Amino acid sequence: MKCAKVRELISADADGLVSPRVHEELSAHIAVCDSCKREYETTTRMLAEVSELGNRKAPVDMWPVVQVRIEDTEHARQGIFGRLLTPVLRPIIAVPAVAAIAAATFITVHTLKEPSRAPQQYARSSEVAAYYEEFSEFRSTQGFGDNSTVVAAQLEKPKGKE
Amino acid sequence: MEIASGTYRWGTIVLEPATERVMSDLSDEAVVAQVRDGNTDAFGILVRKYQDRIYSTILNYVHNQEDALELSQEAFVKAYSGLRKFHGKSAFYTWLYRIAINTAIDSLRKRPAQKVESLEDDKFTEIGFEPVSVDPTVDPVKALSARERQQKLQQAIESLSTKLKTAFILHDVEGLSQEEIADILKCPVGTVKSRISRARDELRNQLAEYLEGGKSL
Repeated sequence: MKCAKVRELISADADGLVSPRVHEELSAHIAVCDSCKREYETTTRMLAEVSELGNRKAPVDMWPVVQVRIEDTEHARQGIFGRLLTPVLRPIIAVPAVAAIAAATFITVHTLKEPSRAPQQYARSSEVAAYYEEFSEFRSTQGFGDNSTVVAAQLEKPKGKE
Repeated sequence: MEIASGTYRWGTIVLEPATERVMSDLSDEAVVAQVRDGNTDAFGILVRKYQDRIYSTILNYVHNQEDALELSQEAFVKAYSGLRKFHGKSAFYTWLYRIAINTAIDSLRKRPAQKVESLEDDKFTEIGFEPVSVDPTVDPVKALSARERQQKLQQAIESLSTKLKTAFILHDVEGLSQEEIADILKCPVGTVKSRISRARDELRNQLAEYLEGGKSL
């Protein structure tokens, strides 16, 4: 193994990423080559020193402070209206409130709709029935077949233009 | 009002120690799902699980315990706020590391001048924390040499470009695998390998005098 190749592999060897065969070749070369041996030793010494800088413990439990900061951030994000709405949106208040609003809406809509819509519908139905009967009779006397679309078109015309 | 082993208080389930122990056995993804469902307290499990690793990593950038603590907390708050954007394509902790590193780098950009760490140590000693990064021997000469050695190393690491420094810190200082770093940095493993190798070469050249002279750093 040549010096250039050995220097390329020193880093990988220090991480244990070379095969046992390559490691053996590397070791054999380092044993007889002073410059490669020096590079190997400086690398391993440096890595040993550097590893002492890592894995330090946090001086305090961070959660209490993080929790307060999260709450502050959430409040800032929500703004004044969001903060006022938050208690209202809690399930214990929100669920009965939504149910009450839904029930009130349903009752109101049905109370307002039914009396005004029903007579119109009945009036229109009897008007249509009478007109259809009259028109069908007229067509039958004239020798035409049944044509509902013509009836419908007639019905759509405003009364004043008939 | 009691629900299971948690206490119901105005719509929030406050975790009691037993509940927290059970939840700490859950996977990160399961805890993240709990947080997304509105259980803010579950996020405390993730904070307590990763606070040492995040603090240690950030400390390698800012070299100041007070700043590292402040930035770690900031990183956790950012993670909480950004949890909606976390889709679980990568592991939670690699995503968290990414936020922490970006937070540390941003703070360095805003504040180029570095504070001296030794001035801040007293504040932590007052609250009963003894820094573990210094040789704990009682011999003051050895303690001083340990501090000098660390400063020498930190100065050398500081001189690296941000990309080389990040790969080196995560791999050689914090002990993450090349695959994990690739996930954090969103780049191929080959790129990580190359950055680590280049960082080591640069550091070895800078520290050659100490390392080859047989001196301790």
